[in-house]
Amino acid sequence: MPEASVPAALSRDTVLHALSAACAVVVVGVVGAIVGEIAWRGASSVDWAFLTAAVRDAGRSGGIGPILVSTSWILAICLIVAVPLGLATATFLSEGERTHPRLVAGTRRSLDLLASTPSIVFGLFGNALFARGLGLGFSILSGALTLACMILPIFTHSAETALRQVPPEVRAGGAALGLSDGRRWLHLTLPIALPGILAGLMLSIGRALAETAALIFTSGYVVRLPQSWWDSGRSLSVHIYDLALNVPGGQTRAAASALVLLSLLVAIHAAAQALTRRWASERNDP
Amino acid sequence: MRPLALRTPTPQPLSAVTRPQIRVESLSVSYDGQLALQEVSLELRPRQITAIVGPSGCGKTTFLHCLNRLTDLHPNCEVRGKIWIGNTEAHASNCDLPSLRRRVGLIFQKPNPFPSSIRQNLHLPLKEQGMSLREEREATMRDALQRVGLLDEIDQRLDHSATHLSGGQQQRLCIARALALDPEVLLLDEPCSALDPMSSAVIEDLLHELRSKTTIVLVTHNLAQARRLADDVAVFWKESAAGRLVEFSNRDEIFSHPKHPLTQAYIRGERG
Repeated sequence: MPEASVPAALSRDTVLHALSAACAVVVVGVVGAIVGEIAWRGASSVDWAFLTAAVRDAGRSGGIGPILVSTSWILAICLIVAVPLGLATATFLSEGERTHPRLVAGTRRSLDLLASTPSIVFGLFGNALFARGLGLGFSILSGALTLACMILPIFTHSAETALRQVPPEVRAGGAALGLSDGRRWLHLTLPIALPGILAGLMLSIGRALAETAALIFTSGYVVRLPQSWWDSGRSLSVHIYDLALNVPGGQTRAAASALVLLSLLVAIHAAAQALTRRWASERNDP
Repeated sequence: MRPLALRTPTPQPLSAVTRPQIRVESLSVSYDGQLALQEVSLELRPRQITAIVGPSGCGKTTFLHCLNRLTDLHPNCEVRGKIWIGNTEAHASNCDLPSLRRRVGLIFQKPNPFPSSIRQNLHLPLKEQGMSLREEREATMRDALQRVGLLDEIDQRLDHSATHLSGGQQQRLCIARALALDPEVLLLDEPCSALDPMSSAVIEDLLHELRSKTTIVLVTHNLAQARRLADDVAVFWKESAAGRLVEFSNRDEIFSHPKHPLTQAYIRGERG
């Protein structure tokens, strides 16, 4: 009877709400514990000198200046290669199903395969193809190109999802006015999909900044300041890995470097959010 | 009630002296191999309002989309037959599609302003048309907004988002966007169905005014609206999942002396 079932349903709802809230608290707790642990152990070592000085005594003293420069080079080149390639592929996947169904299916399967490939395999692949095959050696360029291959499936998938969410009536409206495919994409599809694309970019940057295995085999782990992208360079994640596992007494500096890495991720995320909000408000109320 | 049989009407020229603006010959459309519209032939007079009426799913929107080839956007859509817009064969392989779509504007059932400013909504298609001078685009935009009676309402908000306008204003903006390209034909797919009566009345008044310069094809479910606005009326019906044209004549004939039993039943409100 409905009268009897209402309190039971309410109680079920209350339990479900409590369970889901508890799960959310656990997630926040785990993140808080990780950040808290890193901050507690590393915060005292982080200052301006640490961010700018050269690495000394295998990282036990000095700073991470050259490491940050190498990391920035690797990330920048990786994004310069992966973002246009990923965006073009995502556009093809979201719009090419009608004209090239087999190629779309094949591309999607290839991206799925790439996404499930372990990073150590990417490292070996990058070493064989970029470092040795193309003669780029252990260099920032080899590492960045390998990372670009790694983040391509994540970025492409996010961008495709964002592009597919553009209301079809907007595209049809543009087509009905005789707008070319290019102008429709640039002025109608891209602005609407941009927040989703930026979210995918954040995920990709996170993955690239966190990568260690693939970079050890490609960009190497030389700690000096790179003079060009042909030089070997150590990324921040490789530096953390090395300090934590190979350098006795390097744990505090590893935590400090990890804190810098986390801060970088948070800063990039905040910047992307701010950009998205500004873009949206400019489109709505310039 | 005994089901009424469909008979294909013989297309009759509505005027011996006026050359049709749109000529459709044996148009059939299928999606994924499933027939949606079957053997439609008719001729539409220039600078008249032709209403397309009929029950849901009888192919009215499909017919409209064929006229400016928006059917090209649908996956696995096959169009057979011929359509002439003036002297242009719309579905010929060498037809200049962007040019055709600028000549044949289409207004959708749900207003679909671009997610940008009101000004950008009008400047974008004009830029695509090749109007490179900003001053010229600005003048054309203001003229189009004036024609749909929107300029005074939004003159101070041209750089605000078009999506913040009311439903009726959005629909008039979409009409202005199409009119800015100076189309020969304006296709409207139930343009008032998502609007309140006041906004609908404004759109209807606007269509009356546009008739003197533009050929209008209006899909509507609203028979009273067709009676108020149309010069000619085409009645579509659905049989075996495919839409067909059952009767096409001038408004008075259709509403006062319908010939086809289905039209008679539809006009009386007994079918559809």
